[in-house]
Amino acid sequence: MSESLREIQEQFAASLLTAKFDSVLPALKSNPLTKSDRFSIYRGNLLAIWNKTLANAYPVVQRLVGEDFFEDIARAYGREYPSHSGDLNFFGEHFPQFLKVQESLLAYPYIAAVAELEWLLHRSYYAPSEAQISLPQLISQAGDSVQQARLCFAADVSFHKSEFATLAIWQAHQTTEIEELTTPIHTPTFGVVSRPCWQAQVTGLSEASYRALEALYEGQTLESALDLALQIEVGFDVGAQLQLWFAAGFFVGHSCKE
Amino acid sequence: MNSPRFSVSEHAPVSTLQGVGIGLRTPHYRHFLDQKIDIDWLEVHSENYFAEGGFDLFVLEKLAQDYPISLHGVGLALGSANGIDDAHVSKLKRLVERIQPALVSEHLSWGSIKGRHLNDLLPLPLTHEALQLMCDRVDRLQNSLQRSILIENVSSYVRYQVDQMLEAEFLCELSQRTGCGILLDVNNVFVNQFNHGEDAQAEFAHYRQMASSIHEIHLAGHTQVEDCLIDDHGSQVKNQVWDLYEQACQQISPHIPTLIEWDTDVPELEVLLNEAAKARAIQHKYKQVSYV
Repeated sequence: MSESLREIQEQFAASLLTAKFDSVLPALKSNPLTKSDRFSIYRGNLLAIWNKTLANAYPVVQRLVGEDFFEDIARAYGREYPSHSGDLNFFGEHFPQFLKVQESLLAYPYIAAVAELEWLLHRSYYAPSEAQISLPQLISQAGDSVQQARLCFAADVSFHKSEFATLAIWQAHQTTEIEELTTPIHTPTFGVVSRPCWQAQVTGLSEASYRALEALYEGQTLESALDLALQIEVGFDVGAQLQLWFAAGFFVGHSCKE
Repeated sequence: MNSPRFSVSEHAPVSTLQGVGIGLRTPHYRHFLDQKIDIDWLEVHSENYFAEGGFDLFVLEKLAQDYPISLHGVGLALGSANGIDDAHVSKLKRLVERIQPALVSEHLSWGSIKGRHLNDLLPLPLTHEALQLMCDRVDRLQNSLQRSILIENVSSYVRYQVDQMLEAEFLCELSQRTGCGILLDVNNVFVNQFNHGEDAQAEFAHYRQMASSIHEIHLAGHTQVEDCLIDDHGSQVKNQVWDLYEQACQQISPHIPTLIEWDTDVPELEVLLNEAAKARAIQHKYKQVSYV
């Protein structure tokens, strides 16, 4: 292939990513009809698509930092972490770690933690669809060996642990009016993201419940996982937690791991 | 110039759409799930349904049972000299197999360089070199999908010094060489006429000669900012574009399936249906004329 097309496209792209217009000028026709900088429309489109894509995945972060600041960090993120696909669903994948090292956000480390939660919710929304099983179905299928059942998790399930009150912050930003945050910001969060009825959600759990689920996820039996929870939390309510886990649609089968 | 052999005959375009469609957008999912809407077909942006599961795909699979679907890609960046993303083609192929759409379309544009996708429909230099590249890419895509695709003319805000032909000439030649169909965006023709002083009638003269290859028309709104028209798909079709659409129906064909595109500030469904009714009335007017 001749280099000319490639060169034009590389010059065009370089010019889009810098404030300098000059580098692409030789390739473009001068337009007697216009006094406006039409090339800058493409530069604006690029920023708009970064901003819109990140705002779709991180609506709470956008509300936390404000639209103007969010646009600034979207611009910086887009330059540092190029999109690699025409499918923008993965563009925001590195945003939480990007936020973590932004000097202007070092005093607000909970923002990156909220971003981690939002990314899990974003991925959950697009995960493969599978039929979830209910607690009665498990009992009916496993019978007397239910204690030895190893549970198989839905593809839309992921674990979220933070030293900050990320879930409370996220919940406070789900309505038009931001609700008052009553939980201290340094309260640890243990949550599991799932998609029981198309909408991705996060279920807040105690540490004991969270670690029992982690154990199940790693392939331990229901009995081992519940024993672990009871070691961590003496009053762990097995019945209530099982109801909660199954209602949240965490499981799609059992005995799927040896 | 020498042209490689493309597999035109293997994937001859077959249009099963008729009448007028609208773009399916998230705010209208509920309306379509709850009742049968009086519209001939629906179009979606392919990339919005690339996930392996989730609500969007569920809705599309359900609606595909009741409405013919056109899959309109915005992210393949076929004219990028650096290459196209095989993973993207695979996702499109998976979606095509799931939905069995009436039409699959992409754009006459580029959008990526090595290491970075720009996620925009950037205008190609209208050169023989770019034409050859597009022929290779369209042929490869049609072979991957095992079906014919449509390629759409794009709106543009710049033109290149090296341009050697009109966009219509480029697109018609591409269609002739590869057997791909043409998606004629009438709003884009108007926007380019305004922005570059191009002659829409000259473009139409080329499209008229390829009338049997034009399998879809797009109509959309645009916005004027200073001395430039921005193709933002965020408002009703402007009167001048309706006039141009009438000419398309009269000069090219009134039988080409036509889409009302509206992507930003999506209005109530009723507004889209009213726009669709307007397009249908124009089609009808010229269908009657063509029988006289």
